Amino acid sequence: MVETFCRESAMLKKGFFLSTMMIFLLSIPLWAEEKIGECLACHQKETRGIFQAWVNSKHAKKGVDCITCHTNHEKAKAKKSAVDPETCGKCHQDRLRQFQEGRHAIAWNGIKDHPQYQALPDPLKKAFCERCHNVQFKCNSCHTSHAFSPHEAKEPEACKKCHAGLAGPHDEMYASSLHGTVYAVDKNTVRAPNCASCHMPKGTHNISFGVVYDSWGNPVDKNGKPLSKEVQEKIRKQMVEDVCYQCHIKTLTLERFELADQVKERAKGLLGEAEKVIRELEQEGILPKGVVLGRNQLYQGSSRIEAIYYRMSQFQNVYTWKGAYHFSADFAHWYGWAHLQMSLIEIKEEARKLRELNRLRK
Amino acid sequence: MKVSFVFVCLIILTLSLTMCATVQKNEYDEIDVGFCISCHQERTPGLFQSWVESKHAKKGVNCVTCHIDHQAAFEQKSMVFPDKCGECHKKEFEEFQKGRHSLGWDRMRIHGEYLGIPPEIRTAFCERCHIVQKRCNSCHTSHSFSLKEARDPDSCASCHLGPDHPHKEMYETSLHGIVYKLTQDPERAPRCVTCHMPNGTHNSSFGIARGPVGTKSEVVDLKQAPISKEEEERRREEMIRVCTGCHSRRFAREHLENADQVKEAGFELQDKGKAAIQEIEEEGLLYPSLAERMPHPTEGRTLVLADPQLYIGTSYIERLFFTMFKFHSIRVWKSGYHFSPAYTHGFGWTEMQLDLIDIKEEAEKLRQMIQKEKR
Repeated sequence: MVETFCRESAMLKKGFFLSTMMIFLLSIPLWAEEKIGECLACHQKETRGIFQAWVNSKHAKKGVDCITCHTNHEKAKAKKSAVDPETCGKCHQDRLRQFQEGRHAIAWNGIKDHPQYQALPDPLKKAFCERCHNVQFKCNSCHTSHAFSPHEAKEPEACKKCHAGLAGPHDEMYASSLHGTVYAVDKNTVRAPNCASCHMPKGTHNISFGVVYDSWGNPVDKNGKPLSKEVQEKIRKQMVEDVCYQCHIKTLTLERFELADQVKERAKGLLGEAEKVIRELEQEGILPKGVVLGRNQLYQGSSRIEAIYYRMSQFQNVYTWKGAYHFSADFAHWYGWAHLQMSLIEIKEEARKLRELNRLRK
Repeated sequence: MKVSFVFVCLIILTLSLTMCATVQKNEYDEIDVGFCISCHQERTPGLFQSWVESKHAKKGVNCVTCHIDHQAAFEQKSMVFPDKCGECHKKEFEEFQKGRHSLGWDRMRIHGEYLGIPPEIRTAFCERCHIVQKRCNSCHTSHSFSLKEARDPDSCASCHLGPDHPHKEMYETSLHGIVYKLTQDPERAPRCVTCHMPNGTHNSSFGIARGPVGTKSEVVDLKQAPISKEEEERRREEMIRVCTGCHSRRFAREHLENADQVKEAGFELQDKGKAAIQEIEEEGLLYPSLAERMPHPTEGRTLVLADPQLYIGTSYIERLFFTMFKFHSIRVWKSGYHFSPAYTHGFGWTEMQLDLIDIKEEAEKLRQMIQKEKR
């Protein structure tokens, strides 16, 4: 009896050893070939939200799973789960190519060299600038993880995360245009366009489609090379013909754009007037030499008169000229043009006070 | 022989010209919707599709009904004026003419602020909203002219927002606006049209007993004449009848009267700012002085404080007052009537008090500068 038990027990031990070995041996190829089950076992509990978003996604239905994009656990961890556009581009080749033609693809490079970015402490860079400018590396800036839903990405709200607020109030300008208000009610792009209708027609991912100017209002290409008059006209023609003519007649459309061009020039004129006042102070030695105005200007540590100019060039000017191209009327007028004029008054008064103080000091 | 040949030629030429003219005329006379659609369903498919889905299309109201013919449409850049819409929508057109929307364009054209700015800016900005006088499709946008759209607060929000009159923002931060946003149910909470266009009236000045924008003057009628106390009371009663859809009469009256008092308090504060600047002007300390600057387009070389004050080319202290009256004072009193505490207090009353500090400080600086100069 005892003998039998011992033999059985020895067999069991042997069996246990063998089966453990089997599992161990099997698990080596398992890690190497990592299966979706491995990820899900933990992640459907630990990150339920993203798991559920993926389950409901088109990716899940087509068999695109964690490993397809993240390769394996080790690699995913090292990159903090980031997946770069090139990986998405393996399947979505056309989209990647179009994306690379547009300015989203240089967003990160654009801030890296900017003096304002360099002047900020690291935590602020991370919390603010980089959150938007990382669009260069993240398709999921717009198609958010893990649903990657085209429906979400096409909504104006998807653009709003970055394109809102003082420096680029695209969302506010659009929302206050007739385009935006009609779309807000109907949610129907046949009735009125949303952001993607004009800037990404037919689903192009070149978001610079039909746009002649950079953020500073200069007619340049994505690498900063000036565009010839002919190329500018060609780009505008693309926008007008592919987009506006869906609803508007030719003469009206061209008139609107030309009007916006003129508004842009007017705003530039006011900036020029303000700059002249500041440059004069610089020449008189009231302000130190080497005042930087406009594009590379900092919003910190300057004189008050430069700070007034900062608001003019970076906020009010943008409201005015971009507001005109987005057909926002009341909003763009009062936050833009009216404020530009009021700032000019302030700059002239400040210049007078600075001169007066300077005279008294002598 | 020669003479008769020329004569025959002339006759042929005259006949053919007449025929051409007749053919062309007939073509436009008998223009039918098929003629328009053959091009426009391809050239402007969005606009065409909107019309197809509209009530107009179902009832047989087509391009020609409103635009008459291609030539006429082309000449007026496809605009259709309210009197044309009024041929069918008689009641709405008559009501529309009783409200201030029907003065939108005319009032703008004679306003000092409008006259003081460059033509491009006028066209791109001012005119886009003030054209409501000539365009039913400011609210019922082309070509679906949908009631659902026009009744939505978003429809009002393309003009009624921003620093000069944040109606949209005030409404959205009121309980009315918040509950409507959550429920989308006008039975639960009112939207713009519930109070301002009850029973579908197109008189957008319905029930408005205070105004006009930014001045302390009495409420005026469409001819800009002050209205009587009785008329004022009648309008207030009109509005209270809307409120009693949900609120008790006493509650509604109390809240509106409280708003009247808020309005008065706001204007008193504004007057303090005004007085400080008038003193500066009397002391000859404005820079640029009234003599040094372009005269006001409608008021000439006088100190204009509050409507129709300009935001261009004035002194800095006047510009401070501009912000106070045009942006902040209006929030105080209009938010009082729209029941938005955030806008009445935070963005309105607080900002006005801060403006007053700025104005007084600036006045003091100007005086100091001159005193030092004299020494």
